[in-house]
Amino acid sequence: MRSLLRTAASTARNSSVPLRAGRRMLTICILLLCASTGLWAQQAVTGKVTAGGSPLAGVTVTVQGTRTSTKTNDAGAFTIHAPTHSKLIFTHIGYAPQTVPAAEDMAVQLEVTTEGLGDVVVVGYGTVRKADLISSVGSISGKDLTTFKDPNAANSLQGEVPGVRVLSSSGGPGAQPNIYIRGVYTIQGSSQPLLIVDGVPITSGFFNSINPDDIERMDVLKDASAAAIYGAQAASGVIVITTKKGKAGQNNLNITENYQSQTLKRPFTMAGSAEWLKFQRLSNPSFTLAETTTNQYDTTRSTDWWKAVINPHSPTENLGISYTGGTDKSQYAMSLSYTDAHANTKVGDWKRITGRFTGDFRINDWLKFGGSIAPRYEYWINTPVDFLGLLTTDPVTSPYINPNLQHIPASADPTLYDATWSAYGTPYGGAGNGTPPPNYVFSMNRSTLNPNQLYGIQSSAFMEIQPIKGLTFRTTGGGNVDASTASYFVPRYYLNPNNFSNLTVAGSSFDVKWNWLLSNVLTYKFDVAEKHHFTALLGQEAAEQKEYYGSSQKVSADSTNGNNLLFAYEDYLNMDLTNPAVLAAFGTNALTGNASTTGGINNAYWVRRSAYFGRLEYNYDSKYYLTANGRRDGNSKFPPSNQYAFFPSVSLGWRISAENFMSSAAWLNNLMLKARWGQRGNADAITRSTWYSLVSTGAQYSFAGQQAYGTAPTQIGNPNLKWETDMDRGLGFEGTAFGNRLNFEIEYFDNKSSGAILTLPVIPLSAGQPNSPTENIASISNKGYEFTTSYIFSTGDGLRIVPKLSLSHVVSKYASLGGVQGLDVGAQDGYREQERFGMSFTRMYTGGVVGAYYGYKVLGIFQSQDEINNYKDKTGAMIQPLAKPGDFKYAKYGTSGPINTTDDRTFLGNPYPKLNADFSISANYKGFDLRVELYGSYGQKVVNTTKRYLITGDRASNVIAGSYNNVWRTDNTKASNPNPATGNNYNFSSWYIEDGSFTRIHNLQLGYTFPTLKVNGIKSLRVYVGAQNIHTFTKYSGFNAEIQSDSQQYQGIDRGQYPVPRSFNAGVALGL
Amino acid sequence: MKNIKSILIYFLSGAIVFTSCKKSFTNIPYYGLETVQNTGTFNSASGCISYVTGCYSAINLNDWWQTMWTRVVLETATDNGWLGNLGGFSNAASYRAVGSLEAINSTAGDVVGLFQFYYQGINQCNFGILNISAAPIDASLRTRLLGELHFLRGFFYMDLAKNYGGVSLYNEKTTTADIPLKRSSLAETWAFIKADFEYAEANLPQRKDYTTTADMARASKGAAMAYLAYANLWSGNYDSTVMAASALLGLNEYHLEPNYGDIFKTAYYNGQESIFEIGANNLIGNVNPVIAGSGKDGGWGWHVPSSNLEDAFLNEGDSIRRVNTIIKDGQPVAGDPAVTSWNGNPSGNTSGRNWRKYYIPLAERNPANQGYAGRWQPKAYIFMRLANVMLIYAEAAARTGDATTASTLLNEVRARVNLAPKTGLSGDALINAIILEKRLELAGEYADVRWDDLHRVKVNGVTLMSSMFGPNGTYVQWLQTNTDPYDGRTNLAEVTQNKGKLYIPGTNDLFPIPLTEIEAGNGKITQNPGY
Repeated sequence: MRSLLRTAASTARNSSVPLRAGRRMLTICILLLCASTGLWAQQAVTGKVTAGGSPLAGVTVTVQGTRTSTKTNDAGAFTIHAPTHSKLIFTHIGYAPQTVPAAEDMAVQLEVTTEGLGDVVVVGYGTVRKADLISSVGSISGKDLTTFKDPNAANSLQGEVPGVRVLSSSGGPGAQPNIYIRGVYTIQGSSQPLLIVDGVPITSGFFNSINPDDIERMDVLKDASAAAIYGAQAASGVIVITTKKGKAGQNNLNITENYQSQTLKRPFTMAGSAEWLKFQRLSNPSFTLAETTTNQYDTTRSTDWWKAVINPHSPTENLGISYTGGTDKSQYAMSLSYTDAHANTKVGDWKRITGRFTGDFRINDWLKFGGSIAPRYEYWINTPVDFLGLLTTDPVTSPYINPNLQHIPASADPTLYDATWSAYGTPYGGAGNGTPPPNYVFSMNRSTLNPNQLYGIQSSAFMEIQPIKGLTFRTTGGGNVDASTASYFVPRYYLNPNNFSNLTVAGSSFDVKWNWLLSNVLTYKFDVAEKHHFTALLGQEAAEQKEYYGSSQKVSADSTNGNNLLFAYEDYLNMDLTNPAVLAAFGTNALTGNASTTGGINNAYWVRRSAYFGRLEYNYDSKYYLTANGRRDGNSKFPPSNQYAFFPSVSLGWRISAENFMSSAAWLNNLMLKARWGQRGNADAITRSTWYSLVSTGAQYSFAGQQAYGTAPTQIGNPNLKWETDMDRGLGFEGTAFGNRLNFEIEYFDNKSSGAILTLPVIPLSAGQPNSPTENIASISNKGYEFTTSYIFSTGDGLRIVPKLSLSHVVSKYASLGGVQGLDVGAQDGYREQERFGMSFTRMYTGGVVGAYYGYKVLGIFQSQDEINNYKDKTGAMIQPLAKPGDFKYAKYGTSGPINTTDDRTFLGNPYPKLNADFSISANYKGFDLRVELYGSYGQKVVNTTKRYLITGDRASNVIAGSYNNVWRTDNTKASNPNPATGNNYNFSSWYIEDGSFTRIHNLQLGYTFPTLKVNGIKSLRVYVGAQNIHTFTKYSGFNAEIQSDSQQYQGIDRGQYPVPRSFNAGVALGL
Repeated sequence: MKNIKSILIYFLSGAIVFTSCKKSFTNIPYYGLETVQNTGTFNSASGCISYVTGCYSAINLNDWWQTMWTRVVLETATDNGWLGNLGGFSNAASYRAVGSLEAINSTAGDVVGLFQFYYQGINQCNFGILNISAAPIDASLRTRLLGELHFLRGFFYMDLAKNYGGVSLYNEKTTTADIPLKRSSLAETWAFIKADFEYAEANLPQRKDYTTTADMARASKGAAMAYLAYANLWSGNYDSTVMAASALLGLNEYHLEPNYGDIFKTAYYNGQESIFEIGANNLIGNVNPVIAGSGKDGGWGWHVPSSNLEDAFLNEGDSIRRVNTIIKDGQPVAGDPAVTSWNGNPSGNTSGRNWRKYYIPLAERNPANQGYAGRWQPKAYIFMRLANVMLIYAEAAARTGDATTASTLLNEVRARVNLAPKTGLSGDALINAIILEKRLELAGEYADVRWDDLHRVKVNGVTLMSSMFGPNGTYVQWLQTNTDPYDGRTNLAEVTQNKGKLYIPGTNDLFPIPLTEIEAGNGKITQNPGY
């Protein structure tokens, strides 16, 4: 045994000889190889590839005419052996290829050719190269935001990202637009996307809370595979905002000033007093106003209400100053902005001051720390002007009666009233027409007594550790607070016997919203065998959101009891409530008990979220891609057993152009096929009390005369309530061609939300429920496509023109309503619809489009009583027995009986466009830049409710000039508009429906950047002029074919909302 | 430095585990709302008792005055009453559809009200049965509370079955996914009701075994037996009626009040004759003193007795029950020495008559000797009393051929009010005598016995209601010849309508299912024939 061992040892010892010999041989061979390459003039070429000043990794470097190639590393550096005088070809997706003679220490700069493809895209807790992106993300850079200057960056999204619709809500400065990404996902929740700024969700203020100048980029995560990592909050898409950071070695002071002048186009010429009187006498037999010249009504003149309320020009000013800079160790950015936007009405404005400080600090080679803090202040006065009401106010009323209170009746004591607030005329609202319309001059001026203020802070901080190469641990924390106050004051005034106040009322309300988030994310990026690229991510997140609001109101004592506690607006603003005497005088009058104080504080909202998530990104040689996401999301709104749910998504990508069989198609630079499947949850449709069973403790009973209190259910909860889940599927192609000049992207998506939460609006009495139950019973489907293409024209002398076209389409349908046959959607605006039309405009029904219009179909106008008498159902009964000549003839769908809402309404149109199109051209030549943007929507139907007032003069309203000649009269039977005298034509019918297609010239912008200036200290200077919303091409007869709406189920209903102003702007951006 | 790095990593990964592993992080309380959880409704004995009390209050559930107005209205629709002072009560018009038999249609307030509010009560009971079955409370208390809930549910369903026929049978196992639930047959509905009363009978204590006065007013074994007897009478199971009623008498727990008038005394609760009653006080209680009271006495003069009822007493020579049932203008009030000539406000009142059963003697009022103040008065609503059960028993006995038992019971009831026994009766004559006795014994009481009997009892397949009302109804014809100086005199609406002329015999025997119910039923809920 021992000998055996020894033998083995000796063998080993002996064998070392040939081994050593082998090593030597290898060294010689290598030396020889080197010698030979030297002999053949081979050289090791090194260099660095950059793009836009930053190193570019992954660039393929090929020796021309050979198969020798390499790729740049993370620092953009490469080493390749190339023969002398050979040429190197640098190629990278998204960049123009370059062929450069090999040299020592090469510095190669690649230029972006295809729009954005070279960029890095934010995909949630990480980034990915646009070229490697296989989910659906639309990006917009901060540079694009600032070409069209709008204080609300959401407005700049319009037309930039296909599939994203931006609709202004109620207009006016400071108003928040609504954003819809690829349709509707929930019935009862909001379909507004999640907004994330530097990793922290913004739950208050939305886009108003951000200075557009601070935005480095916005990424819109449109599909489930992109948004899933954000979980349930991302059900309607995510907009991720990255703010500007400082750059090492680049210190810049930027000053920007922008001035806009906005003009509202007068939509119609309204009738003068003479036509209005004639019209009202025709339409309303009980209209009794005679020719008069009293203070309030003067039929000899015509008040121009538009002129009395609307500013010819309204200025908006944006001033910004920012400083960015830094060293290798620390980078920082600081900005201040001031916005002052005036309403188009003479009163009303919005002021905003924002600040932001961002710092990134590298402590050492493995630890980084950073954060930002952004305070803001807003002040605004809302303008309570209803534009339809303004136009339809009768012309005989004076906007301002004489200041001596002559309209106060002799019986009243004029000293009781505040002169300033009592001098306005109440417009004519004839008998039986309900409350007279407001005097908008008065309403507008009174709004100055109702200021609103908001104080907000956004903050975030992160720490990033890189313990080993490729592994990053990042923890992010952040919180936002918004506190707003609204004050109001009602002075003593006397307008008419029905509209006066002997009391002064002062009130104030506050609303505090705050949220915080903490997330921890571990990312590991590694390659296997060079071609297998992996990025794995694991994370955890916890967040909380709360809101409190409250209000209080004080009313002065009754003036009639001799204890006159009149207080004025100034008193109210400057009052010292710590002084008991002031307090007593203000309202709390123990002697009379007439003064009152009301109010309270409410805990309005409280939600906690907790989640784990993970993502694996894999690609093989930039040819085959796989991304898998998973998120386990928890939300406090759901019953404990259903708070947590798991939402997975998978996407696959195949770069077809990288396959060998495509090598002959040299014109095609890139072609990628993408397929996706994913689930998203939605918690938005319920409040945190929805699932609870609620009881009231107020039930009373008497046992044998003894009082007993019992509990009775007020809401039978649904302990099985769970997440709404949206299943999203998508397929798309993306590519570039012709030297990366042509870029195209086409996507099809088909998603279906299941278990959509619906509170059954009508349940049988026998269910005995005090309130209708809320259940996961409905389902909505969204199908659509998006197509984008652009082309880069460029010439040698620096001219570059890039046209870009985007088309998109989505149709949202109710796939199921949980057995409910159909539901009329309640009116959103009782004043205009429920009261005046007496019926709903839209109806939900299985298979119907979301927001489907549902009403009577007009077949024509009855010309004679004979025609009415002969319009009969199968049983021979008259279908419209109450109709008069000049009334609409409605289609009868039911079998018998007079026209009624149960049987005879029908689908009248879809409020969603068949096609949305965006077109833009960017051109640069030398220092000039030009941008033209157009967008349009086609095929959508609009409900023009304004016709009821503007054309038929209902409720003594004024009409468009010339309307008298366009309505049906016995002497004008060929008219297209119905007889206004019968009052029978105010049912919701197809007459109110119009095609809302339009094309809008959205933006024109021309700028000039001065060549390097010789002036000391000035680094850059750009001046620009522009115009927005210059013209809209449409056949729509109302104010604005692009209808703003707060509800996804109630789109396209034109109630005469705030029109879109045309604006001209000029600005300067100075870099020091 | 390596150490610092690892410490940081350990610290941060610790933070992950700490913040996210706690599932309770997302379990936050709901402040500000009274949830079942927050109020501890089903966590404690007191919570469960309080919930069941809430179910009792559903007997009078209404969103206004907490009174089941339909119960008030139903008596006025019969030959016993008039809707009364329409002019003085602006809302009365909405009650005329049923209360004056003008239009029993699927949108009439009372047709909807009874259905809606009793189904709310049923839902309350179901939710209670579901939760109290699993509540961590004493087993005997749980048994009792479940018994009470089954009793109440049976009580609510019984009123639905009587007036609407077979209905949708929601029980504690029904979920919102079952909505809308289709209607069950009448037989299934009665079976369900009887099962509830049988459950209650088996699980409830006798009244005497309750320990407090207040608890004695809760549903008891005796009440369950009485309603079981009544449910069997309605559904034609006379043998079962006899069984249940004789079992109740066998308890020997309830006795006729020797003095008929004592049953209706103010603040008189848990009387020896009362089997199931709703107590009342000044905070929640009986609205009938005010509603039915004379306009000259702080009342509304609404829901008043008819001359036809008075005639019935006179024909029978029944003076004790007459003066304890009807007060008449210009006459003294029985049992109230302070009133020698009662002002019935005949010019503002249909009949110049008022219910004595709801009258509160002046001296007993609060404040004393004044018109009624406040809406609620301390006078029990008696739903079921022994005399009623005896007559139910008597009818069932008569229908099963046991004329002896029937006559004995009938005469026992008559004897109390000094009426001579009726002897030698059998068959229809005996049954008619019992029905008449019920009319006189129970007229005007909140249980609407007259309304029930007129709908329940059929002669040749036609209900009494359908033979009395309608264009050719006997009562409608009698009204043409009615010469009473008060009756209907000031009530133009009722006189011109000739009350009951618009009644549709046959069809109106059942109420229609409310229109909203049909509409919300998505085709699953059928309407009663003829509507």
